[in-house]
Amino acid sequence: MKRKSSIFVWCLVTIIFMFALVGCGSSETTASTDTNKTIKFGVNSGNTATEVFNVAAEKLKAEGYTVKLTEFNDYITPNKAVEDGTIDYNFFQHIPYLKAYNENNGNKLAYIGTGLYNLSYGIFSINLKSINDVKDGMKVGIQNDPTNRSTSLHMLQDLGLIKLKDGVELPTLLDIVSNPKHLNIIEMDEASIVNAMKDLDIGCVCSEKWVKAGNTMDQALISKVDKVNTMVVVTTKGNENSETAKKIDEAMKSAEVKKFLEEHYKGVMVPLF
Amino acid sequence: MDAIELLRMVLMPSLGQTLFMVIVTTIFSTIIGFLLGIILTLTKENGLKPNKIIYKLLDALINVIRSFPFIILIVAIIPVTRAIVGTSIGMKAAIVPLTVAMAPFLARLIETNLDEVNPSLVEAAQSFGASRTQIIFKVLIVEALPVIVSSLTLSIISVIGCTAMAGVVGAGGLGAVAITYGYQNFNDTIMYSTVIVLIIVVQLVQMFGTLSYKKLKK
Repeated sequence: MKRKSSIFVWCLVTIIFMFALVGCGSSETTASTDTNKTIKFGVNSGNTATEVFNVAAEKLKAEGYTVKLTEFNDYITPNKAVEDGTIDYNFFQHIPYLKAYNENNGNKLAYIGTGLYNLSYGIFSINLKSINDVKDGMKVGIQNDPTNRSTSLHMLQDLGLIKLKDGVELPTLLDIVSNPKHLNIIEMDEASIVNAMKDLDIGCVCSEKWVKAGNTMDQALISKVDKVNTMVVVTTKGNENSETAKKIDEAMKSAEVKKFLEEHYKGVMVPLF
Repeated sequence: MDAIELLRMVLMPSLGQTLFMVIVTTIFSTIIGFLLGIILTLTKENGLKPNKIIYKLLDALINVIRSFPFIILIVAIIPVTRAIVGTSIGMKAAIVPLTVAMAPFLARLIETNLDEVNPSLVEAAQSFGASRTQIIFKVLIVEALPVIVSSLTLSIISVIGCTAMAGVVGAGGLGAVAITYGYQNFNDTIMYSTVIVLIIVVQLVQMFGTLSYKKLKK
């Protein structure tokens, strides 16, 4: 009998102790959100946006913010993480991507301010000298995510190489109605396009990836700065006008960021501030 | 475009691509895996023809290859792939890294399988004056065949998983469809349908493997 009661006491003690621990934990997190000085930020690890954010993060740190950075490897989980509150903000996407994401995922996210910079897209090749050299059956690499694929396909259409079905907002390979040169269009991860350039005849990719791999923009057969694809910092709906959000927007539009973009990505990422 | 049409247009061709990659990889890997497995068994310390240098070299090589995460292996051996098939993208190109990944895996399994054969059987064969080749093919492999078939089943299923990653480099296949048209296009119907098709393929492979194991074990 005595033994039984002692077990019971121990259980009770353990339970109380666990509650105390949980209590400590939660009070700690409320304390940090109260001060509003910790920003949980998500970025994509391979993305040039991360480099831009790091410049802005220095600015935020100088203003007394603690920046907690989480790196993701794809373009969906950083948005999911903002939705469920694991992180507060993310920076990796442009407005069309956010729009497409929101339409399919319950419209819970919004972007801060008016956007930061526009991206250049290009058609690159190391085998061809001109876009007119594109011949029957050549291999064309395009990005495999919905919005960049759409940009690539539209570029090919503008060049008269393919024709897309009318009125499809984000076309895929299945929306190509005519392909007179029988181009072999292959959907690939953006880094793979740049890495496998030797095996492709042409590759359509965000110019930043091309430049980041140590190439230059003179190798572009054609390039354009897309006015639509504006990069934005994203947070949950309702939080986009908060004090912290405004601070982040200021930091992202600082002179340091502008200088960084002009030094490293001139003509590739064009600032809007 | 409705989901059913999308399934018909992307799922069926990609199933063919996946099966092609898996079958060709399995053929090449089985040949290489068997060879390596037999060499490992022969040359180890208590093997039929011990050779420390060859064993250690092969052993290390297999460990090195198996250390590569598959997605990195694809990229890391691009020059080799290009030298063999002339390109680094597409289905044929994917077969090279798939074989490079599967063969050592299978070799290890076969090595273990051959090890498990009762040594008294080998001794008995030796006392009858059997040659080394006879012992390998008539004793070791015959005795270990049922478990080797199980090992092969295991490897084939892991290759099916690997083909999904090969999709990143434009190899196509079900995995690529699940990622590109399912996950990245926010289309759950496509994503889960491809997974269901993969489940069926894996089930069939496993069923066939288990059946063959039972048949051979008798």
